[in-house]
Amino acid sequence: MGLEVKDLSKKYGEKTVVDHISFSMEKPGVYALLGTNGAGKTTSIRMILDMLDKDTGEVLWNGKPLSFDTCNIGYLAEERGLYQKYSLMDQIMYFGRLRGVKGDELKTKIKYWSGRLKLDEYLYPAETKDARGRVKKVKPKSPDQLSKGNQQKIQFLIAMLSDPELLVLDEPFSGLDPVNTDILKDVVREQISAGKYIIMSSHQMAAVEEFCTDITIMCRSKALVQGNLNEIKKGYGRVNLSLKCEQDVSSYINELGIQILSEKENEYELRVTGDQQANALLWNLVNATIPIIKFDLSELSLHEIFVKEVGANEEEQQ
Amino acid sequence: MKKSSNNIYSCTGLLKVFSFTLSQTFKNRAYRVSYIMFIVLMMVMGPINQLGMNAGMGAAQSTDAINDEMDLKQIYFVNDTYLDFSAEKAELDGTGFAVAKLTDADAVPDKLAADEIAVLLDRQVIDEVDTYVLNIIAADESDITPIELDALGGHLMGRLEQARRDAADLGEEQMKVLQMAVESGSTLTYEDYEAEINSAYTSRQLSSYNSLYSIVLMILVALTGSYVVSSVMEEKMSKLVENLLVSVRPLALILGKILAMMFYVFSMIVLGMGGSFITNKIAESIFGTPAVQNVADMMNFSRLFTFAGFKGLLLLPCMLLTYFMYSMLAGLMGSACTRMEDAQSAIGTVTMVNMVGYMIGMILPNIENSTALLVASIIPFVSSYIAPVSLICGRIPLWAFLLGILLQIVICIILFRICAKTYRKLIVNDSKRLKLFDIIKLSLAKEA
Repeated sequence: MGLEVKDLSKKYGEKTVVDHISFSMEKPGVYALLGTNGAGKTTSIRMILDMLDKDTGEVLWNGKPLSFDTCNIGYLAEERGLYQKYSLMDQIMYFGRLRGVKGDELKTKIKYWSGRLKLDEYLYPAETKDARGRVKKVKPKSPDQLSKGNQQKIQFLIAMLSDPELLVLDEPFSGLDPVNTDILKDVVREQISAGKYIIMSSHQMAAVEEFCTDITIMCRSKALVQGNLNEIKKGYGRVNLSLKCEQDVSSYINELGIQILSEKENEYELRVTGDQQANALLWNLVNATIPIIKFDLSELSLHEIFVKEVGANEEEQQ
Repeated sequence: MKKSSNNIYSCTGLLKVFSFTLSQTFKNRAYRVSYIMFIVLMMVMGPINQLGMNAGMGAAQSTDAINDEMDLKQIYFVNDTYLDFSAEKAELDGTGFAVAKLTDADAVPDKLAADEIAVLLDRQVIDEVDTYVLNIIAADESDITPIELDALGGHLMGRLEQARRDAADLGEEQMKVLQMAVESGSTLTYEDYEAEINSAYTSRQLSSYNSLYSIVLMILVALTGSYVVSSVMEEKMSKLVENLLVSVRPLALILGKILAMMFYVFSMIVLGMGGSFITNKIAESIFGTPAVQNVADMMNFSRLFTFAGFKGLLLLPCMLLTYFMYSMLAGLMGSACTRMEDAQSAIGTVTMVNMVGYMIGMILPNIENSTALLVASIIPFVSSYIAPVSLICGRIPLWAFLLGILLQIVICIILFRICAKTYRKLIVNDSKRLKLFDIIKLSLAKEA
């Protein structure tokens, strides 16, 4: 059952912004929605979450149309923002209540997530001592005093309040420093272990690759590459060879017609045609008794697949 | 083409949006200050008005203001008219002024002593009308208070009236016949005439009550219009709207915000009117009945619901219906805005429609044309300003009033539906503001 996205399309006037996108998540995990700027990722997410009317298609959650009535959804939108005039605690409580979390349960959850996301100082009054040693309570910061990263963490806290079954994260790591990125990654890992369904959209391929099992790469409103990430990678074969020797081996590499991507002090990043070519190079080096420090044959990274596919498509379009 | 799976008219979560918006509005200092200031203003306008009038006219009409006998050395009478108004005719006995000497003079002396007064009667053309002007002049260093001077002026005005009667050789009753006010009505048809004589309210009362009702309604709508537009835009401006839409439907969101702002303004007006009732009663008990009741009544907002007794209660639901209709219009205009600079145009549209209704509401009762009143009582947005008071004053038939109300309800339902559709369609729109015509087109477009 899980999530089923069938044939989503959207046009603005004559311009097609999402062109018949379909995918499904039969079991919990992370589904990555990737694409160039303006490829239609956010519009797709908005249609999935029923914020935008669909021209065609439907989105089902356990066989029923997906909405916040049929599924407990947590959403971190691409556009970050908070009510600037209201206190942070008031707005978090408001969002919690709208999601059906009430009273003490709500307070407990806010306390828990504010601790997890290191937001306590922005939500709770701090106690300080003045020159005479008297304890004074200092009001927490107002929303307009928060950095973008902290505003993003507040929004993430809001998304987590209802303990959602389906978590939609649109560019979750953009604008976060490395420390906060790690905090958020930990939470995502925890949610995966807890059996949550997560849709993630991002430009940071390395971060997405770490979590996702299935992907759709969108380009010019269409799904360009789609499926299980491991299967996709297998399809391209093991073509990345990382080689480090104790002497210059360029002649051996050139002899086999292998493409050198980068070279630095006897350390090479190579693009081979497959296992056979890599094995041939290894055989030649061993026969020549050249000491090998590193020989690592691997698949293409998600970043490389993305660039390769999108690049090819762009060329085709031109 | 698939329709949205969810009911766009669902209002689940409306109460939560309403209570959050309202509580945050009252938590905001600027909103709180304007709330209190507005109420205080409504409360003090009547008494201040009464106080001003009593200080001027009340004192002028009576010498009761003089508690202790006022000793004056001399009063000079300068009369530049042909009337027999002289020191001899002043008759100050029993007025509280003990004057050692009353003197007729050709001109006001260059220098008046502290216990001297000059009375100057002159004839001038003011606003093209030949007018007697009576001035009472005291010295700069005089101890005589303005109230005492007014009291003396009031007495001398009476003497001047007597002098005029004597000059015309008329008795008091004959003078009254000449001076009595005349109420004119430009009755055009027998129907209008019949309506006028059969009604418990004169056309002046209709005009006066309708003006008061229109002022209150106009203030209500004008204030709410801007509050609603900015409140509806708040989610878009704060870029929070997408986060909200996974918890609440757009209609519940916009309706909750509109109702919260309506409550804020309406409670302000109701408290202001209640306060006005109390302060006017207190002022009346202190100052007595206002010298000029009509002028005092202009600032007494509470009389709006008391002038017609039980029938006056009818104004409340009518006001609420109109209020809701205009607020929905404001919400609709606000939903089409994406930037703060768009808000002004959106508020402008609501204000324009409101002002048209208000102006017609202010002018039409004065024209006294029953056909025009009947037609205006039916047309939506205008009827709101005309029909309720006209019905109470017996100027329009019940069917016309009910038809006007029915049309308003229909407009409310249409606005409600357009609002639901456009807010949903435009909520994640961040392009330029749509105009009213575009919004209507958008709402009429087939659901994708």
